Amino acid sequence: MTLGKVLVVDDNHDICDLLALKLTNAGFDVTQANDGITGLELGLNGSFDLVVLDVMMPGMSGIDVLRRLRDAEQTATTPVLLLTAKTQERDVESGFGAGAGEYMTKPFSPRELLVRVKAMLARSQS
Amino acid sequence: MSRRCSHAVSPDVLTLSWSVLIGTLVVLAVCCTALLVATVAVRLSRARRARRHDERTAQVKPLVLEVLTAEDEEVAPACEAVAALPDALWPAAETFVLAAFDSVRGEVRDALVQVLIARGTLDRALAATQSRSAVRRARAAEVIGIVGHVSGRRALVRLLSDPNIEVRTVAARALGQIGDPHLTSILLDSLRPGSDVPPSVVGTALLGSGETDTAALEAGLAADDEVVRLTAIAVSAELLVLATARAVADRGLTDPSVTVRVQAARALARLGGAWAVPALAAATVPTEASVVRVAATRTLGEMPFPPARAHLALLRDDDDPDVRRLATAATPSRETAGGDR
Amino acid sequence: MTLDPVRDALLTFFDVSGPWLLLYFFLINTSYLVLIILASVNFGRHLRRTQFSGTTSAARSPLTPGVSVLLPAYNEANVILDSVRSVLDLRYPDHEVVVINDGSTDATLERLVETFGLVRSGRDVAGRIEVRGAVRDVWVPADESIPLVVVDKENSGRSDSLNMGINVASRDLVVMVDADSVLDPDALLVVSKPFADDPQNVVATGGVIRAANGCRVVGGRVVDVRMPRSVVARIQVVEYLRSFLLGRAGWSQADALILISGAFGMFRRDILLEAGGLDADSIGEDFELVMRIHKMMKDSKRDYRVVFVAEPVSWTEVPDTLAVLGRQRRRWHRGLWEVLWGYRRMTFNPRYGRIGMVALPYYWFFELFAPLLEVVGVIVVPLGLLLGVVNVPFAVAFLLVAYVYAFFVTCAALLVEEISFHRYARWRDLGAIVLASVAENIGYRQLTALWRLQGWWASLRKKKAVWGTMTRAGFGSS
Repeated sequence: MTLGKVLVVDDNHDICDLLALKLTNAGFDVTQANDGITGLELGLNGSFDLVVLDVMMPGMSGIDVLRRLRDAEQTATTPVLLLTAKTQERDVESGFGAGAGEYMTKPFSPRELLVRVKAMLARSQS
Repeated sequence: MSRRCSHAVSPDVLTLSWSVLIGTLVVLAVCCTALLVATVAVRLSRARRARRHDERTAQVKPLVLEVLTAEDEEVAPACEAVAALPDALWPAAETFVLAAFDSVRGEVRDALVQVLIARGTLDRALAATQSRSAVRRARAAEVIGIVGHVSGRRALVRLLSDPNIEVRTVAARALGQIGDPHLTSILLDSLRPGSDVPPSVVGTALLGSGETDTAALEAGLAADDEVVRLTAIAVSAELLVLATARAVADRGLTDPSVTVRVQAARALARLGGAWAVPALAAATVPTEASVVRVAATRTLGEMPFPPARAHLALLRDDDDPDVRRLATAATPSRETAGGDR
Repeated sequence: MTLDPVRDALLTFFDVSGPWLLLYFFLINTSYLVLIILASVNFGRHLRRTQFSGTTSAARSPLTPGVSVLLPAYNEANVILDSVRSVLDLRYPDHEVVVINDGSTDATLERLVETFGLVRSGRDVAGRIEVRGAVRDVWVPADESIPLVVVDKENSGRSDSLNMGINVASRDLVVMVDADSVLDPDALLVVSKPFADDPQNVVATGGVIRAANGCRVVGGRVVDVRMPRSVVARIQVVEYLRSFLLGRAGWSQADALILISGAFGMFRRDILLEAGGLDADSIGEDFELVMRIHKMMKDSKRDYRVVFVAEPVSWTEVPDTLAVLGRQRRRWHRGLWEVLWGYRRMTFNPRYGRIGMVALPYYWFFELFAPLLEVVGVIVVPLGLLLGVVNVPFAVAFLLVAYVYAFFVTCAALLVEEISFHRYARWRDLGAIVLASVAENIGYRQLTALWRLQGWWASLRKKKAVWGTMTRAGFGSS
């Protein structure tokens, strides 16, 4: 009985594996993608409960993926957690402008991330 | 035909030129082959190194990820598994863990730092700061910074005076990661003439501590060296060290160097209050350098105080288009008919 | 028998010019060698440095200088959105994008307005640099957090549009890109580093440009580097490798860098304003700008540096047909001539240091005149062979040396590339590069020499026409 389906998109394979492992250990059913395009494809077709999205990716950036997810009906309200390396407000705001909801800056604490993910899911399901 | 060789080119010269040509051709051909072979060799060697690195990392990665994803009770046993890795795999493990610190923080990171220290990473790095190779010293400084343990401080401070510029720069950056406000004057001092440490690196390092040594910053504002004054102002602004605000306005805006004046004008956007308006207004006089006037105008534009507004209204007619534009954008409530240029 | 005078003329020609030609040939190839050595030093240093370049730290630091990216666009409706988005998404803590719509007749502006939710800002656009094209409007996003400005103006050309962009730019550093250039995510970090390292002296920097043909580009980023399909494009990859890696790095090491390719040059905005922006009438716009900056700084006796950053940061589509390539090369050489002639007073002038005493003379002798000698050689030598004037083995040996030397220089560039960036990962691509460097000597370089000569000739003829008109006007008006 899984806690939910989560999509993790990060071009850094090690970070991606780390996130996937953390969430899997916690009881989620995790799918991984290493670039924005694959992530978008999976996201649009996979009916995920939550998406963890790295912002800085070559090819399609996280913000771009987010925009397109929001433009599509089936993913317009899916909770998305943005992982951003910048600490500047602007990057975060433009993510919010595109409808992110939550962000975490890198370097991040894996435990905090898990707590956030659970909280976001609880909120979206209530 | 007989005419061919009838011009006065002696046979010796001809033979010489011919030998030179052939000789050059042979040498070139050999060199080209050597270069191509070298290219292939470099590629093969890199591929082999990468393969070996990947194999080792594949063995190490699961154990490190165990630590990074561990919850409370699981941390200690997971750390032990990493600490128990055989010597052959340790370098790969160390590299992987250090790289992971770029993206991960928190208790799991601290736990891994302990593992690294226990396995001698910090000791080896400290020893390497005495290495004859500048690259090794720089790498050692980097590692000390990443590990972030306070016992590396002294070594890093020493490396700030290293003969090699890269080492000095990496040491400054690493000190920023250790983040001790008491390092402020030492870091500012590393900007002395001839050291060439980039001021942005020192500035960023000073920001790393969050808080700062106000006295050291004030001393920096009055330093002989332009670069130190510049950095001190930038850092004061970022960290909102209001104690230095007056000095920034009084000395900064009248500094002999244009770059410092610009920095001061920008800094006052964060540090200044209504009291700063006269000084900023003085910085917009037509005799002042254009970059400074623009910076001062922009700062005034961000201030809601009536004296600032009044001065901006005067600047709407200025000769400098950048100043005009900023002044006009900041005071839109005035009549717009004919006011746009 | 009627060929005898021709034969005599040729013999005299070879007699007189032979030694000089040999000397020229020797000098130009030795200069390449010197540049290679200088470039290797520059490279070695750069490679050691990049390990510790602290890009991550700079990417997060509030002290990193701001950059305005200028993007002139004329009828780029197909690529403009990808282009703007990919520039906005570059990894940098503080940058803005200034798009200058150069009177596009297609949907360029409309697409921008719609996608980014742009509104008219009624902003005053007068600037220190005079521009010719009249501005219609300035658009900004309703969402103020998006750092984008779109200037809509009448068509007046790329240089004029860029000058408009410089006027409007609000950050300290300015970089000019084209709508079809593809940038690496860290491009701004890489090219702005010299400014951050030495804020008082560095006035301009340039990065390495690569050929995008054949590469897989997604969303404005190169995700897979491959050699192009067409032979013409392949040879240009080789050319770019050689000229950028060796030419620019070598000159930069010698502190005599005069050419920053316009497709990726970063400048300090205040210096650009002081210099007066790009010269909209000049064909060699970017070259001309850098020369003007050199002159301005040297004339005012200020310390300054123009730095080449030996890292690939930008990719551009190179011509893949001979027709388009021909036009490009003619234009380049025309630009080269006009700038060299325009700044002739700096040549051999000690006041201008290494630029005047080394770099400019080099460009005169070895870049400007080289195609002339090459074309003459291509005509005269076969003619001589035909008429039995030239010693066949000699001629063959000579030609071989010339071309093998060129191949040698390319091999050196390949090795440097392999040690440093090794972007062409496939063995097949390495093989393609080697083959292309051989093919370059069989027809390609002769063709480019011809085109360059044509460009030069066209420029000389145009000059006479201009003078002619002026003279007539002078007499007519008196």
